[in-house]
Amino acid sequence: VSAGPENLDAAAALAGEYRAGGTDLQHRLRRRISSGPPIDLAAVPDLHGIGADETGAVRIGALTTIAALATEPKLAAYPALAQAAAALATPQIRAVGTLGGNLLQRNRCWYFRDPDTACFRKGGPSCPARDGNHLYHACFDRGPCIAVHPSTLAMTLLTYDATVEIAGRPARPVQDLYGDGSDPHRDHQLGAGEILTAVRMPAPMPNERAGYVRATSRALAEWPLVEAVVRLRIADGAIASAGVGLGGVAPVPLRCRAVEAALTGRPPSESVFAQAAALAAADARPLPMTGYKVGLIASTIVAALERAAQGWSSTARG
Amino acid sequence: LTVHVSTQAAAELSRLIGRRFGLHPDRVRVVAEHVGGGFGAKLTLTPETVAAITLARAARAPVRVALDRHDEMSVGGYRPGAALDVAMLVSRTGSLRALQLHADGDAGIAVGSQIAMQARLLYPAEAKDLLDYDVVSHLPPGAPFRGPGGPLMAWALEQAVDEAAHRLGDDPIALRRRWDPHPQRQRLYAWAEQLELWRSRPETGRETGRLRRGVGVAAANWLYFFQTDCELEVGIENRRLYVATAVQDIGTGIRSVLAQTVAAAFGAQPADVDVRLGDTVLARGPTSGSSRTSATLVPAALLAAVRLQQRLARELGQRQELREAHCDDAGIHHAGGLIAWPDALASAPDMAERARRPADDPSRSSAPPPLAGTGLIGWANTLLFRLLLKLGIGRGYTGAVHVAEVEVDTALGRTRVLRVAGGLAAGRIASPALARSQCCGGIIQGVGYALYEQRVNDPHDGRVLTAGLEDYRIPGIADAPEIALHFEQFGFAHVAGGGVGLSELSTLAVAASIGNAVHNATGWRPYDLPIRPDRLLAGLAS
Repeated sequence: VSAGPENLDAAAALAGEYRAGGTDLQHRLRRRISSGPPIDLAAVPDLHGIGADETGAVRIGALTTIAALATEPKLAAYPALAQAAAALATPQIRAVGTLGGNLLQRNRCWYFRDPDTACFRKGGPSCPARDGNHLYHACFDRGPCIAVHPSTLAMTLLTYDATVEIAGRPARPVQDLYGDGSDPHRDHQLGAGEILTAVRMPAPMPNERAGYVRATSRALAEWPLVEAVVRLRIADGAIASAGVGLGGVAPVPLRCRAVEAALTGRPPSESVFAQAAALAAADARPLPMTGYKVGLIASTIVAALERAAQGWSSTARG
Repeated sequence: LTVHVSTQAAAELSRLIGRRFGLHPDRVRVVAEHVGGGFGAKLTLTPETVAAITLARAARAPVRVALDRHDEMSVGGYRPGAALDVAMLVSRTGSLRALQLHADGDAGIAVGSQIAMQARLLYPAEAKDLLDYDVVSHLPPGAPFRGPGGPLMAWALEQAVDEAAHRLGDDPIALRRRWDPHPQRQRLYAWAEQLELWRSRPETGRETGRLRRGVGVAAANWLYFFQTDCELEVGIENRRLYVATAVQDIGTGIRSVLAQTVAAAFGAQPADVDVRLGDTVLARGPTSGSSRTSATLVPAALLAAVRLQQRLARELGQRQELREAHCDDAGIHHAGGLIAWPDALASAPDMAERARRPADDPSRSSAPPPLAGTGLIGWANTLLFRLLLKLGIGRGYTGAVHVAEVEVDTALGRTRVLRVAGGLAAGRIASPALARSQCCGGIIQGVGYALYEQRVNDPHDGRVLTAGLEDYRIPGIADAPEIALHFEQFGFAHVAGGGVGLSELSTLAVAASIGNAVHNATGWRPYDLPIRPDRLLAGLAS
């Protein structure tokens, strides 16, 4: 990769595909799924750094590495973000992969990643996964493309009501990056020349408890069959507020508002968790091979809730 | 013609290339000094090699053909699948009366699967009905893969034995001790029964809660193979020992085995021996396959080393006018004392001796002749192997018993293998460190086979969807269990060096032991490989 542009205007003027950490792009270039050329953003200063403003909100530069999200003391008040970042991919990928790259990565559908197969996401006329092998695909069938959205951080930031900065535009909510999943041609909504510069986190919730769980066959380093992230604040023996994000199941990251509502005001108990988590898959429309994910959604959310409530001690209960 | 190629069979490949291109084998040099791995897919002359040679001859220039990962995983060969039906008739007294195993091999357009026939060798039964079919499809050809057919056969047979024990209310090891007459495996069963791992086995299906623990056992059998047409040279050059043969090291450690074997004969360290291999200008070496390299080359190396010692004793005896010179393990004895081998080497002229593999001494074995009791098929197979493949089958079977402990997450569907104990009987271990490494690899590969590895093809056009390591799952370090190994080093006194190969043996029963452990943990028996979360959750729900 040759030396990249040194400011946003220069970067926006170049034609090609932006390269952040490169963990996804390099692979797609090798597989001829990106025609490039890669435009390396590393030298653009606006994309780096983490800083808080007077309200306690935190701006995280898009090129902050995933490893930094997991360990950075300035982000300690966002434990769900740290847990989710620490659990994705491998140490090598977390060391070079970035926040912005993770949010804007392309999906992992094995048909999309096959250079010799046409599909909607590559401008083709159909989705070969739909009547092909879609064991790892969506159980929320929202549009012609059934690939699941791969970004663990997107799902996590949704639960924080985070906003994203796009160069030269006002900040907008994270979900605006993705739409509703009905457009089969896009993994995100940014157009040519648009650069995601930072994520803005709202002021932290005091005493946040966090739990992130991904269901996989291996212990580590595997794309989730289902993943869930949970943020809880527990006060006076009850859940004062809850945020629940869900991934690996739909073309876009999901936030489970019904689960959150069912948790709020209730005690953090096994039965409350099970009742609330059961609501998450109410709108699921599984494909022939993804029916197993429907049951797995509730189990994964319950496991994340249990992790978040862990240490909510018996003394606190009593 | 010089061909640099990643192969498991340098010497054999030079013959195949010669035949294909009308060249005398002496005019074809195959070089494969370092081979990253083989596992069975690199045993023959494959299209990419033919392409490189054809193009190079046409262009009169060197040509390199390299497959990228996607191509390699599409057409580079794969472990074939199969569907197996197994049935057992067990008498009221708990003895095995009849065994039926039918296998439909699925190797794409390739044929020749031999899965069910391997069940012939483990448990004697009054009646056996073992049938292998090939189901030919439009998919790319499969290839042999570590213990070809063996892990599949064990997955069916050893789970059936486990099920028999379960239904009889019998202990699975006690049942195998009654059914399995193999003397070394009998010792392994005794070892396994005493393991804390086995003694802590819960009662099947009694575990409750989200995480359920289970322990399973499975046994395996393999043949003692060696190659009949090989030669090996041991020599001295500039007062350093070397050993040379056109074998290739595919990660199995034959380099270390040879260095250690020759070094031990001369009271030297392995680092004092240069190992030359992977080049067909050297003495004809064996193919790396069927666990044959150590069993072929260790006896030849021992014999060549003795010949070299005798020659060195003669030459030094003449040169230094020693009286009554003769040699043994320690060095050259003569009327005036002893010249230890290191001292003898320090003043040795360049010389070399070659040896073929010496015949075994059947008087030192209580094992029946190879494939005894398998009738005409066994006899015919033995003959065909020897004539066509130069592959000898020696007396005695090798045996393995694996005990695995799993933890099943009944909420998220994940199976973790916590501990595996592997007991192996393949005679004396030529190189303990390499044997351990080999057998740990066999276990980790068995974990992958049981839980993760699956080649997925598009149902319409057959293209390989798992053409990268993101989609084709193999175990990572966090998936590797705690491993304990035990070697029963008996039973092969008739072989020079006392031991044979254990590569295939070390992986055959692992997946089956994990399947049995999952049954022990949950009461649900997995029939399909791999034991994916979706399958496990569906199984538990049914």
